[in-house]
Amino acid sequence: MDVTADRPSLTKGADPILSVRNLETTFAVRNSTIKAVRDVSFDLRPGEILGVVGESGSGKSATVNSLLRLLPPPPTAVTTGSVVYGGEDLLTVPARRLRAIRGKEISMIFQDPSTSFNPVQTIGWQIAEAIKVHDRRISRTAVRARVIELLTMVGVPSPQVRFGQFPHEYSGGMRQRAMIAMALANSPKIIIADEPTTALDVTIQAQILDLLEKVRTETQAATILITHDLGIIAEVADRVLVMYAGKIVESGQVREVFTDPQHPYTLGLLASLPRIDTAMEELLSIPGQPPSMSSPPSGCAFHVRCKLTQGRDRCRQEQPALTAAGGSGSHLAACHFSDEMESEAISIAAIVGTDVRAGTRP
Amino acid sequence: MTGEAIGGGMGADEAAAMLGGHLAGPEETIAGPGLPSQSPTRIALARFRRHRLAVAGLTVLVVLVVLALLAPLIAPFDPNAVDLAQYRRPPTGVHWLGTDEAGRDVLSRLMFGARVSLTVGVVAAVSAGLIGLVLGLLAGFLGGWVDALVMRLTEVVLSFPSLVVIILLVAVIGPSITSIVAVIALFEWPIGCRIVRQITRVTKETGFVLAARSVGASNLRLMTRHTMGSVISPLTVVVTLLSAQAILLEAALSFLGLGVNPPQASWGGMLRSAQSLTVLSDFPWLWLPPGIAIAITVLSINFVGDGLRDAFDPRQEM
Amino acid sequence: MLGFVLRRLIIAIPVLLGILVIAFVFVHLLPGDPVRLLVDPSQLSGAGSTQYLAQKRIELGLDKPLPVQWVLWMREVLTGNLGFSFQQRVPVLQLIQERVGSTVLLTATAVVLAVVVAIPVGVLASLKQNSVLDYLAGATSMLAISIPVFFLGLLAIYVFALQLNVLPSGGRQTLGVPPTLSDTVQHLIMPAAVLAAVLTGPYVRYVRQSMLDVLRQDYITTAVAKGASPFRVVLRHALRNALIPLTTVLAVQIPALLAGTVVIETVFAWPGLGLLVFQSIEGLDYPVILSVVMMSAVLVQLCNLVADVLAAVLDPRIRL
Ligand SMILES: Nc1ncnc2c1ncn2[C@@H]1O[C@H](COP(=O)(O)OP(=O)(O)OP(=O)(O)O)[C@@H](O)[C@H]1O
Ligand code: SF4
Ligand SMILES: [Mg+2]
Repeated sequence: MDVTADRPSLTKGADPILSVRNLETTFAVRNSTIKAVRDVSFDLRPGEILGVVGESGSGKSATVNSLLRLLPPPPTAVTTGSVVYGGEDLLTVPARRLRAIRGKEISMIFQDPSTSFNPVQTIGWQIAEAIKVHDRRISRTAVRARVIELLTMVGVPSPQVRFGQFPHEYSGGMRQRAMIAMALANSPKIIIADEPTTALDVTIQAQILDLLEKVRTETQAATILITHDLGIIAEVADRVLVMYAGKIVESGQVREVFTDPQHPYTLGLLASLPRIDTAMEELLSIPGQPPSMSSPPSGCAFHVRCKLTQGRDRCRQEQPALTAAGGSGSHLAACHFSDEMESEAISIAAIVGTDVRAGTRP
Repeated sequence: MTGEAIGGGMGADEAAAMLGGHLAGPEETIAGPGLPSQSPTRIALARFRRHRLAVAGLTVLVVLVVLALLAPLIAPFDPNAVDLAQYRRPPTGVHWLGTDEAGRDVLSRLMFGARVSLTVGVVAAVSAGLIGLVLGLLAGFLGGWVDALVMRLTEVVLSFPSLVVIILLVAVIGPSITSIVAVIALFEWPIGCRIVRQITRVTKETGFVLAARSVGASNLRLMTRHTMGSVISPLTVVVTLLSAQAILLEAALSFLGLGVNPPQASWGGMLRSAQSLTVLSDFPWLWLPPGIAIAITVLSINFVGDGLRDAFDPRQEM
Repeated sequence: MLGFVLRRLIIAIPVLLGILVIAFVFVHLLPGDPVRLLVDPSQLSGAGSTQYLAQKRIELGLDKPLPVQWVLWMREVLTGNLGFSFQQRVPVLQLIQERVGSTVLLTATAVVLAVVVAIPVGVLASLKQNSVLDYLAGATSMLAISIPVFFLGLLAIYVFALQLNVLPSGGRQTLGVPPTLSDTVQHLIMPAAVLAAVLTGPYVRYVRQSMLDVLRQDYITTAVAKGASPFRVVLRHALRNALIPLTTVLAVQIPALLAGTVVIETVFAWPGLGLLVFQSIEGLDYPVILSVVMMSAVLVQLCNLVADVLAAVLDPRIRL
């Protein structure tokens, strides 16, 4: 995990292309509500890859699906806050305007390519549809040529033949390539990839990640990349959001967050990650279960599982705000006792045999 | 579509589709960790009570059953007492629903007819459920050629154009309550059988049963103990919906003259008189009450079935 | 595909033969003696009646042992005229030809009506889950499923033929008048509508459930995320997938639907196959009953085949 290498910081200082403020999403289920996204705010800058990590159920998908209003309509799912893109709030723009943005300016890549394609239409038809719904007058031959070009670009072999095939005739990796081709169809400004590699086997995962990086370099699209896997973030992301129980608990440049985590949960994730760059003797999984999202714990939602808290009342009573931590202005964390992280890291190092923070080997 | 489309009710596929959720159910009932201490029955009961139409249906059914049971005691007249002086009289204070072509009291016949409909419905559906249960358990647990045989058998039965064959069979055996029940049970068991088989196969794979097997429980005890628990709720739904179909089927057969023997009263048989246009136009009290009675009964059963299905459905949020 | 169809047709032959043997045995188990139903009662008493009956029996071929009768009947089947009706003294094929048109007209009209109503209602109910429309559609379907078809038929006759006097109460055409299209349509409306009403109930439930299942799928979200309009998402993505199982169910149900017309044809005196079967069972007309059972069995096999082929045509994942 080489996060210390220099990354081209192409995004410094640029105005955000997408500004999310105080996003809250709740799902109504039979006789309770699930608070899947709680007061989430972040910016996406042009051309960057923003990673989002967190355990299953932490609200990653709910967050990004809220952006384009892809969740079931109210009263099932209710989203508040604001999502400003190009001066418009996507949560309140008229449906017609939103449709013009979906798939054209902001497009999505979903987790499971085997269920995300319509089984009864050809892949070519489905990619072509992404183009045609935004450009009604385009000719059939032009669409076809563009789809073939896209399939070639994402590395689908013999695209002429593949154009007319159905999803079940593709392999998993090929389907995900086709999904990426579909997302690229209208040269979007933002690509949101929700665990694009989770459903694939390891060798294919690497290929798809390479492809996503290549796409970013070639198209300059900003990317939100959701994953469970810190390794992926370390490899490709510029900045990272760490989510826990529907909230962002830490965010910052990947380098900052990995070398100097300011939240015990992030440190815990690092300690549970199998690595080749440090000589860890054992992996340390975070004890306990993810919290219930219908009644999240009071105070800091992590306090039930946190070692750092040491039973202090403050953690149980007061919700920590996401504030500057770790010295740099871009690094934020939501922990009352971030300043004790150094000793926490050392105590974990004592257990696993090495400091789990990247680039801080003795 | 014997009962399925003509009589109404739902076809095998719909019933199976509706019960789809149950096929994934056993893991939940058997191994479901982390569920609150509430028993599944308690949860199901609570859900059922929320289903207002189902509760209403159940209430109506209870009233009907009581009326049918008490018919000999509370019916105002002997249902078969012929009184030619009272030929086709409209409803009066004495004969609340009038009298039929033999001067018999329509209300009394209606109450006694309920006994036929309800008996046929319950007995036929339960028999079909039992046949399905036994064959489904055998097929699911033993697998191999037994399974293949049973599955072919369900296919054959389901592929009969049943109403024609049912009419033929009833005609061969001779119309009576027993023959109607037998014939309906003979044709309606495959739905339950398929569901039981599916659940049994899933249950067989779960660790619970494997553990019991290693301790040395016999195959038979395994079958009854562990599978029953997960099979019983979907089967209850199936049997409920089948009883609605059986009632419709009995009514249709009686209407065609293949029902219980006269002069015994049955709802379908009472409607038979309306095949004459004179009766239909001039004596509506002869055919409206039995028709409405069938519709209300079947509707109530279907609501109860719907409520049970929702109550047992593990897909719904706890 | 062709290979599959041929294979299925070949497999169907032993199944059909089996059904024919069973049906043959059952028909001959029917209580009563067809000969006695046929002859003039006056011939049944007095001298020579036994002889007369025996002679009749020979005429009808009923004197031979059952296996021989079966082989003889199979020969009739293979030559195509399906034997002679005991009662009407004409080839069974002719009887069936006279009736089949009526039954097909009635059921086809009803199915088309039911589908045309059920698809939009089911789709809307699924899109507006738990809305007033959804509850209304649900309650109406439940009623349609629960009401006996003959009672609904009687109610329709009572209201439209007897009280309002706007439609004929039964039959397929006005007697003594040359048949016209409008006359047939007038006779067709009520039975077809009643049958359609009963069919619509399950169809609506089916379409709704199928749509709900499909709308939950990931590829629907994909389509929305592309920027497709709700109209497009429902018509091009959801409906197409939701109707695949419905098509199969429809095809498989056809034989049962035809068999079920016995009741509705009785109520409306509609001169179709159902009525023919019923009259034949009452009159112990063995050749007619057997022929209809045989045709039904063939139809069941055919419709199952058609259902499989249709599924393969509509769903590219299915290979035959
Ligand atoms: N449509 C929905 N209806 C009800 N609850 C939902 C719905 N979608 C998500 N949730 C709930 O919201 C919470 C957050 O789910 P979400 O899918 O965003 O998690 P995630 O971080 O993406 O997890 P994963 O890594 O498993 O994809 C979970 O508790 C989930 O049960
Ligand atoms: S606020 Fe307290 S409980 Fe939460 S992470 Fe920090 S130390 Fe742990
Ligand atoms: Mg997710």
